[in-house]
Amino acid sequence: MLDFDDLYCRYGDVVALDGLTFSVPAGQVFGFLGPNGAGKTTAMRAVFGIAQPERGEVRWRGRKIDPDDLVRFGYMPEERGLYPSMRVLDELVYLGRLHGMTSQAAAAGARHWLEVLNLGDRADSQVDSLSLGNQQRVQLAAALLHDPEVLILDEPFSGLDPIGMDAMAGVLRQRAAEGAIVLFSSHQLDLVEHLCESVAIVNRGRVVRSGRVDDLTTSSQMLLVEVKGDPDGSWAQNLPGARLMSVDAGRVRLALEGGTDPQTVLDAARAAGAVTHFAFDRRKLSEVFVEAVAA
Amino acid sequence: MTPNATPNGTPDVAPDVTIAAEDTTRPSRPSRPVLLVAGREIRERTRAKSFKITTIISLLAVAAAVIVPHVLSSNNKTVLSVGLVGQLPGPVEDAVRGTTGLTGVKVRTVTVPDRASAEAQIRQGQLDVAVTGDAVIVKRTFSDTDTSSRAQLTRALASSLGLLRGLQANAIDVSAAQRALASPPVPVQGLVAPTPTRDSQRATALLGNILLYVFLSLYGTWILMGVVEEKTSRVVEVLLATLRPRQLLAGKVLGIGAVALIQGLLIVTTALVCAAATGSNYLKGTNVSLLGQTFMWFLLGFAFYAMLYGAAGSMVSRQSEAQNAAFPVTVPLLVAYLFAFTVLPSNHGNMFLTVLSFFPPTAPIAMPARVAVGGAGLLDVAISTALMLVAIVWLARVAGTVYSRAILRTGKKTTWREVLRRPAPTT
Repeated sequence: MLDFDDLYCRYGDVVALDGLTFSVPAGQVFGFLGPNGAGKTTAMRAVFGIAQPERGEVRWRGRKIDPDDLVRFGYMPEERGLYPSMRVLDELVYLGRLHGMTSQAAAAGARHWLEVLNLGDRADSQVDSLSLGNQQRVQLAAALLHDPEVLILDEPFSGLDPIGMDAMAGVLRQRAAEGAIVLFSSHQLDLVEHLCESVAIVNRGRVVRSGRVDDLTTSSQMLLVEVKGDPDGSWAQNLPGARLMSVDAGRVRLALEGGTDPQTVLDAARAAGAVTHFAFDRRKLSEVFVEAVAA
Repeated sequence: MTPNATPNGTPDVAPDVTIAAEDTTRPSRPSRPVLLVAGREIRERTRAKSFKITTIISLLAVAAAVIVPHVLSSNNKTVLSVGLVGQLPGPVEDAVRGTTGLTGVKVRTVTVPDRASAEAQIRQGQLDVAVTGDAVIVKRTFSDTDTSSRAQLTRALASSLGLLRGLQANAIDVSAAQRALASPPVPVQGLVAPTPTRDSQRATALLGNILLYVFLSLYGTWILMGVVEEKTSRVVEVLLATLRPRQLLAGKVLGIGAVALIQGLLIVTTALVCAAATGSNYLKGTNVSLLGQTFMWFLLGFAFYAMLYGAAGSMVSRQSEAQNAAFPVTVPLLVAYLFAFTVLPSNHGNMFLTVLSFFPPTAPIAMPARVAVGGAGLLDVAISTALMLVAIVWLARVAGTVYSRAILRTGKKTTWREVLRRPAPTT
């Protein structure tokens, strides 16, 4: 378990973290969401002591993180960074040794991850001769090669092509399945919904919603309704007890407010015309996100 | 280093139950992170082609700087040809021989039948000087300040022949006069003990002065560029996930310092070997004590400036700002260098240089300069060294703080005031 406990951090007059509190359990992929400037990067940096909160602490296994613990952590910062003039393998071995590995173990780990990430033939290339996407794979290998027990990745999916995204998602799932703590931030909410078991949504330095994705997306009922001959879904405007979320080619998504009987919505639809589709639906994580952040 | 040992070498099993249950094959904190950082600096720097090329060029340049002046000055000592035109009177020939002996210039005399052929030979360069009964002929007259052996010989010949004519015109016995002129000089008595190696010491000190300035600013700039590279490439954030900022800075200073030391020693050794081989004048003032002291001041100066350049580099957000950031750090070095350079040729040093030799930023250049000309005693050196050590310890703390605060800041320009004023971080 990784606990963020009441973190408070300020840059000049800007409050980056304002009592941020949430916990990341081991063994699952955990998404860290929030609009730009919400404090995600600062919170992740606080894990490594790179950002120093004025108040609060980050705990691992119930005690404050000690610098000696950090060799068991893997980190991929939002602003990717590698020595541009070093050879890929040398760079990975160096970073592995900084995490307490022997040269041999680091070289073996580096070669393993380069193979997994389809960069096996680039081990002797200079880092800056690689494409940005491939540099990002090297960055991921750097975060992984010492088999970290805590994996913290800031926007790991940004800048990846679909194949790279699949590979990244597979790696995160695998590490979580092996019992590691896996925390990553992202703006790609559909992907997060697909990949994560739990999320924390942060806004202005505080957690505004957190929990299992299943719980968050089923906390209120959604209806998908289509009425023939009404492509704009005009029948659904201003329904009492149901909020119109979106209209897609005549099919409307409605969020039911607590206590609203779905039958009243069905009645309203039938009054407007022939109902060709009527179904219950989960909320999308993106809808939960927008609602949580707007509140 | 084993993967499952803590810094003090004990197995990684802590008393805490949850920790003790852990897999002990997992990696633990490297025992010497500073050495790892230093090791990378040394490997990467010496691997770079640019390093090998600049090292070779420096070695060639230093070898040339020692050998070329030597070759040129030995060219100056070649035998000059003096033509004696026609049948000169015996006293004139004697005077010519006596004069060439006095000037110390090696001379070969040849007899030339007449003035016309002497002029022709001078024009062709076969003769350097020709002497007729009443004139000295050269290709082009020399300026008064020309100190070449050809000019000196010409002047000496002209005045001897003039003297000879004067003696004859006043009916003075030439051979008696020559005997009188040949009598030995009276001794010159100095009031202060002689220091026969002063001049060569000064020459050596000038060379040491140049090397100290070049090495300190060059290797300091390496530190600066290394820090800027880590900051602008953003790799620093990955490194700081396991390293403390001070460890990173210390490792960098240590690693680059080691490479600098190796390159510097190669250069100095090359200079010494070339000088010894050619018998160059440059390094005659060298002795073990002076070399040792210069070396000590290089180490002290490097420790001092490495941290200053490192702190300056951490404030830079863009590669293009690096030059501007380096400038204020270079100023004290430049002042000490220029001042020592202008003062060294004079005899007794100077009050201002004395002050500079105690002021830590300028001491690494000013103090060895004073020592080389004999202007500083052991006590002066000891006091200045102590001040320097205190300054280094103090600077290590301040530079470490500045570096820690500035290294992750990007975007708008970081100012010295900002990083020095902000309250200390909590850890």
